[in-house]
Amino acid sequence: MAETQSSGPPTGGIAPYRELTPAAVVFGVLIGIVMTAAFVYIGLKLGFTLPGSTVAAILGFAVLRGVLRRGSIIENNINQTVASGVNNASSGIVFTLPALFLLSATNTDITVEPLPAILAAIGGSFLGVAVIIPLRKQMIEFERLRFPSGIAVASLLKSPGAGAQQAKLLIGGALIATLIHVLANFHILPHEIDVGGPIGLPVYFPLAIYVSFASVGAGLLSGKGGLPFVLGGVLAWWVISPSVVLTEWVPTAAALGFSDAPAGYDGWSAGTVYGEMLRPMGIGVLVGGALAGVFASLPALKSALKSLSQAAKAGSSGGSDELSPTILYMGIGGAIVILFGAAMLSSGSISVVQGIGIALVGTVWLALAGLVVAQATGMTDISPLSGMSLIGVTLMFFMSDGNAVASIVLGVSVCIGIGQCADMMSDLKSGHLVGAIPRKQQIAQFAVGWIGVPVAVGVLFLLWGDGGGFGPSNPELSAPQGAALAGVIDSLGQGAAPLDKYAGGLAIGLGLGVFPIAGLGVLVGLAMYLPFSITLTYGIGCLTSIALGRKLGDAWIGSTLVPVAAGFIIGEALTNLGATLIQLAVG
Amino acid sequence: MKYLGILILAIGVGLCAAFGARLSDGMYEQTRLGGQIALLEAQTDKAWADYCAAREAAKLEQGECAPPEEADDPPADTPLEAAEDGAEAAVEDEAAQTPTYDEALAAEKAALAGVAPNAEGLSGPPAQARGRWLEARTALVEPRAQKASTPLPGPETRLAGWFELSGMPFLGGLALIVIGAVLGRRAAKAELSGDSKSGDDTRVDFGVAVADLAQKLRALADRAAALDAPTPAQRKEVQAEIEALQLTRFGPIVEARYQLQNRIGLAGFAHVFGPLSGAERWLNRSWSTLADEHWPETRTSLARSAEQMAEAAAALAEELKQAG
Repeated sequence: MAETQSSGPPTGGIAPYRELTPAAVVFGVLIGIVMTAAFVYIGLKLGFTLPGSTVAAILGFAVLRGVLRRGSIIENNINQTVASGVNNASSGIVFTLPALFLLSATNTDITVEPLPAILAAIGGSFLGVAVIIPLRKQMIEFERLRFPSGIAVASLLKSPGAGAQQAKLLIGGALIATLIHVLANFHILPHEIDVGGPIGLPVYFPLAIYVSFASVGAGLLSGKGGLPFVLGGVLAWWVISPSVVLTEWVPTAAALGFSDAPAGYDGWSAGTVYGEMLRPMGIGVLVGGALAGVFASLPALKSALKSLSQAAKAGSSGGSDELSPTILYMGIGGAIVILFGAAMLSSGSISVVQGIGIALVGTVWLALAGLVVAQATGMTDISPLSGMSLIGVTLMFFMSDGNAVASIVLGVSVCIGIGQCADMMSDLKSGHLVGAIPRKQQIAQFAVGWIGVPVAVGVLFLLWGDGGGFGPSNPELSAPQGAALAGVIDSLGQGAAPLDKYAGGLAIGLGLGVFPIAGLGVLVGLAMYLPFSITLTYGIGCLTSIALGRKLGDAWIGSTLVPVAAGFIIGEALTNLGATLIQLAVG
Repeated sequence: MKYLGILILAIGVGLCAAFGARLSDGMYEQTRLGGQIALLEAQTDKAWADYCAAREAAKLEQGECAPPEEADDPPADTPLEAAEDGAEAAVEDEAAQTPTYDEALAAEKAALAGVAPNAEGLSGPPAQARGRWLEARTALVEPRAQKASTPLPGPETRLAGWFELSGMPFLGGLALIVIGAVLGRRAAKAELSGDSKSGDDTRVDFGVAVADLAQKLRALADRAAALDAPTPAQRKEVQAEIEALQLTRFGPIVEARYQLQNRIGLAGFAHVFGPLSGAERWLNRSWSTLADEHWPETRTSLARSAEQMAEAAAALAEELKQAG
């Protein structure tokens, strides 16, 4: 499978340029497997995993460049693509499948079979990589989305050739981020600096700064392109949130039966605004914004597919760099078949017609949600993966007549596929910046994307043991995301889907799609979906970048700000990785 | 017109999001009950903690306040928690068929009866503190029964209930979003086509810029092709030239891409920007291969970059001709 030489004239006795080499693939797979096992464990313990692409780039760079003293810039990019492609399964599985284990502990009718879950996850993984084929052109070449982590990874990969000054800036940025993150982890600095509380602002009018230099770095790299996201956050949290509280659309203390507001009332009202109103509506806006984006870019997408197809036939200069759209069509067809098989295997009560419906709707949703997550990541570096997966599970729940097993198994597929889209796109952005050939990156990801699935599922079975190996009753491995999903499945059984908020949000997102700023709906939806402190910190980065750009010019931004901001992202990822390893080591 | 469009859009989004956020009557009631229970539970927990502190201050055995026993298995409940859990399970079992208020109230009262008696015959501050806890716990009985007997509105009911309450102002907001967006589109179109009075000085003559870039890339590729074994100084020179092309030639074209999109349409833009981006990527590759000191690949990459840029220039000429 591995290719070692790019096309071109004879190299005059010099070894071919290293790109898609066995070393890059083998080390990538090994790093990916270790990351998958570790991240599944840490996901069960803490409820979140780490940014796969960045961590994979750091590890790959350390192994290939540092320890083995070999590897070209582009070979490192392939290595990182492979490692993060394998590891993508960890978050996709750890956020969804544990729910099935937990439900099986309380319901004897539910059993956890590995085969349907593995099949569904592999189907999702292939489809996730396939749908990226035409979207790469659209998002990276036409829309020019920033993908801040992609830029950070490219800066790291290019650092050996970028000169001492840029390397110093990168390392300096990383050290600052590491220092701040360590101080926050040791509670010397708070994770969030509350500015509003001390000046008397209520909790439902938040003014707090999230202590994360990675978020500042993402804002610095996004610049003015990230401003609509910040304005969306301002609208959601400084206009809508106080409005709905002051108009008493959130029950007042008196309506709750208290003569005076009891302790915790403000926090509860802010939580209600977020959990019952803004967050579900934000999910709807995200979906509507993405749909509008698809409609708006149909001519460009059509043109991209046409040129890919023509190039594949003619083998013209640009065409050989890309995978043929036939792979996309095969990926979609294959995913439908695999999802159908997984649906039928997951439960005996699924009829053939239901199975077909589930496979078709699952495939369409996966492609759309993948687009949403890739766009959101491209514009802000923040991924609404959990919200999109939640809708996926909800859809599957209704398609399967409330069958918990089928909805979770197919939810695994959706979650992995969506993650694969965002991960692949970020790697392709790094690839574009270092000059990798997209076809080789995509071939590598297709070849290894499935490997993490049996690893992640196997780790879950091992940790579950005879039962109760993880879950809310086990303080060591409480599986917070899985427990939350099990709760959602329970509440869906009682009819709790916030259809009104999703529908309202969808309409807003579609409306925003008419405005001539690409991705506006996705940015506003994301701002409603996230707590404001994250948005505000990111906004500080955007505004700083704009101010510095005006004062010092684009050249300074490229030569100085980009490596510093990349260092912020890499430093925080590195610190998280270190903290994770320490936690694993000390149990 | 641009700012008017943005203002109308912002008002529309605000209206839509605010009215969209409003809960239907059924969900408002569920939220109210949930909030009441959550805050009462917080008060009950605090009263329990105060009671346990009072026991400790009175130097009494931990008794009801004893923490769960340490064990390898999942932690066991305290006797009190076990009684509470049992009662909750009973209520949940009944909730599967949504009990009537009376049934739910009876279950809640039974649960309270299980934990209410002062079996130890406490006196003094601990007894008073326990009394306050019991009072707080008793306040939970009715709201919990009410919540258990109020079915959660289904998705369709929520949608219909919300629309009845907020549908019209929401649609009004949506209309404002569309009006604002259309005004914004017109303003953007005028600005990009040069009709605007905004004095935009970032206009790019794409025909000239792309042809010039294609020529410069071809010249660089030809010079590289002529060098079989470049000296470090020559390599450095090529690297500097690549960086200059990336920053000063590709940068402005990419930055001004919406002008081109406006002029030749989305499909035409894709026709040009496909090969143009390919040329940019091959130029990026030539930088990487130069940094890796692999001169043959640098030459190949520069040649590919020049080739794709020529394709982009031809595509642009064709599109501009069609656009008139």
